[in-house]
Amino acid sequence: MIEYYGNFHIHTVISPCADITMTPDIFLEYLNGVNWISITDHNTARHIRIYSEILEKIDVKVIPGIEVTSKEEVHILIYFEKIEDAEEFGKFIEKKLIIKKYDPEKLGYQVICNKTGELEEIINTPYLGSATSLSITEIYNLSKKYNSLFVPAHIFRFNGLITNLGIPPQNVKIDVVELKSNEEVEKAKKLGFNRFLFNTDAHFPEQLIPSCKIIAKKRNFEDFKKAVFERKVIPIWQH
Amino acid sequence: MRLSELIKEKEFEKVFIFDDSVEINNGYIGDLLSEIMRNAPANSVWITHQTHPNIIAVASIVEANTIVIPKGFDFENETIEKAKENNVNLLKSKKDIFETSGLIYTLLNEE
Repeated sequence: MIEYYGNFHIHTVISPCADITMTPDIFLEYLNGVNWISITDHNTARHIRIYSEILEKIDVKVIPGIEVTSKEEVHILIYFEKIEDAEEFGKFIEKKLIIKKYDPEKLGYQVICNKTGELEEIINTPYLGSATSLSITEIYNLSKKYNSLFVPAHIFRFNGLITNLGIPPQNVKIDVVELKSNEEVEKAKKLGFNRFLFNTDAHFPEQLIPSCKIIAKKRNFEDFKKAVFERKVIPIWQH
Repeated sequence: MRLSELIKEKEFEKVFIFDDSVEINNGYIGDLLSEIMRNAPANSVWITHQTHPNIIAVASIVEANTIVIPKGFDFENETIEKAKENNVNLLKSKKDIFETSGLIYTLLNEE
């Protein structure tokens, strides 16, 4: 077993709310001490492949991910075994976004990079920060057509599952929840959750730091799943 | 006022009514269910954009007897089923959330 340093909630420059500097070259520069991450942009999977390939250079492994917004405005991280699955799911999610047009001056630029990591174009539609028209149950059912993990993000914060829905929903089987502090761990346990993940939800380069230690054999999806299910994820709190 | 007085208004579509004689003494508005759980008063009508089945559990916890959603929204089927099990009245307004609130506020204060 090896102790890896992880951070599984990271936005890139395509997310409208992420800093304009969240480009691949900055990832190469700032990702010190982290060797296992997930790229989880808002409602899109378009950057996973490019970043995964570029980050191979510095031996950082990437789990394909996405942060989906449900119609209840709940943010959910979904992790996939296969990049193709994440991309297919991402395309479907983009079509379900309810705000098509947006003003990048007000809401942030959605910048897509080319294979070499250079800025290629600005996406003008849809607004990736929008909610989808899909309920949390629908998103759950769709995600489970793939080998995937369903992880509500920052559940006690803004756009969090518990903030928005008050109590855990009955008809979805939540694999893991993302938490931000020891107090939240205690609160989550009282609600019946027992598997946790700890991430920085990186929108800025300074947040490209390890947020948990994860004990696994190899850095692949199955071992990630196993480590999370066997509670071999140890938080590194940022405060 | 009684719920029957509210649903006399043509602005409301009755999605599920278990008892139109319930007393409504207060109103509350919000979409964050955790906030509703902390602050909504009992015997109230709750106006919200949320349509997830959890709204029924939350209404039961705070003892809100009626939930109203504005135009453009629909209760999920499971939410309606849960409302039947838990005796929560469901209405859909023909107005947006601001106008709906104003209408209900006026009715409550005419008492």
